[in-house]
Amino acid sequence: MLVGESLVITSGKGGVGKTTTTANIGAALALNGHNVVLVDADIGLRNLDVVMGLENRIVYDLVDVIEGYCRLRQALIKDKRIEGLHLLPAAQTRDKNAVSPAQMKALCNDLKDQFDFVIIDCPAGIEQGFKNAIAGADRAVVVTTPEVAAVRDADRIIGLVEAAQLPQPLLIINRIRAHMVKHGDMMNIEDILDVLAIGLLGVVPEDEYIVVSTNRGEVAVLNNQSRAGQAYRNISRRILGEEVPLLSLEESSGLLGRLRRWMTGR
Amino acid sequence: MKSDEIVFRGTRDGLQIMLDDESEFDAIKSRLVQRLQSAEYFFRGGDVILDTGRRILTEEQVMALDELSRQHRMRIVKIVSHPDAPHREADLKQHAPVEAVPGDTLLHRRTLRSGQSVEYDGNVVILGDVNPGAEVRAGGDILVMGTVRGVVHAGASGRADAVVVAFRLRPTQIRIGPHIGRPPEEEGAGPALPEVARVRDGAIIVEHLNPA
Repeated sequence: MLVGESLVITSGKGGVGKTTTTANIGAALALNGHNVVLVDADIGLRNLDVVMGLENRIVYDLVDVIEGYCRLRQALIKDKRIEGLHLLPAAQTRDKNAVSPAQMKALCNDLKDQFDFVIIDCPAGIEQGFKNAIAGADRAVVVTTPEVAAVRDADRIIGLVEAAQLPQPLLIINRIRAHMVKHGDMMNIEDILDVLAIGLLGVVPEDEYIVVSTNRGEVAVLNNQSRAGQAYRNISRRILGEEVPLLSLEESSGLLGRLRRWMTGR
Repeated sequence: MKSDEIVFRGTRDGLQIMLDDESEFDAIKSRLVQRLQSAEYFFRGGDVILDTGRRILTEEQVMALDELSRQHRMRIVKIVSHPDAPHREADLKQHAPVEAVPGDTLLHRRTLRSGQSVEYDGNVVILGDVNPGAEVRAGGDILVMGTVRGVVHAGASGRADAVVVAFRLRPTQIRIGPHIGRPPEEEGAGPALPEVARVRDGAIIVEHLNPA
């Protein structure tokens, strides 16, 4: 029997890119030939299905599985493009209290028997939904953006993850803007790592294509032009144990970028 | 027959003088004088162990017996008592410097993250940072072997003589006893040196840590 690894993608603060990160890491791992399931633990406020463009295929959901209304296999949705990528959607008409941490743990153990990676999209906050989401995880990935409030919440989450006896979480810094960091208008990577003091899994640059792909129900890792997509592909390779250097944060290093730098004198 | 007020006994460690539990102290004292005088040649220059039994001697009484022994060129080197006695092995108290250690110290072995706090009556030592949103409250001093970015309150039970020492002092707010301070608004990271915060003239001041 297969024993996969379960990762929870969490942040504390909302809107930093947990769901986007879950979808893209999962997709990139599946593109690498792994069997992956994404679990939407945001019961009552689901949107991982929307981001992946699978909303119209949902018949059963996570709460149906836990309450025994259907078998696990019936609730799993195969991705429409990527082989080996699956989604276990959250219930939309229930709330976080419909599930207990023990039930989530049992569910994740069942999923780990069938998949190489179980990736759990955690809801914002630190209450019941968070406790459920981390209950079944072997390891946590904390997502933050280079903002003081997001870093503060990430710190809170790291403390709670440690208190839950999980190994030290890994950090993803999302939506970084190189030119703002350069001008001192945005926290830089060192500032963030100085406070959070955990291992860095990756840095994802701000990329308008994320907005486009999310609205279309696609994932950025399928687009070779997307820098965020490239960053997520690198992150998934690091999860698989490869050593991949961080992306250069210079916005465009091609001919166009050099031309632009001449013209703006930077 | 009533037992003797004192009993002399030779032990491996030397002569032992056992005091009777029932007798009055004055009776013991006069009997001791009598015995020492009658057998002066025997006890001269010896080390003795005083066995007080279940009796509790006051400091004055110990001194009196000690004085008496000295007159006969003897030295009380040890005081023992019965195991049931309230003060076992009540060694000559006046020889021990009685300076109580002011409060215990709590050692916290990791970084305090946002939302975490440590509260303790004595001193607190943090092996790690105190991050923004974390809080340390100590009845005594606070020592942080890392960077303070959160809120620290030393002397929380009102002691204004408490101090906060850290490798890097960048607190959100610092409180010592009844005083509250916060860093100046203007930007500037401050020196990357160990610093100490203390109360001087009713205000919290921060200065370089200069170990004397």
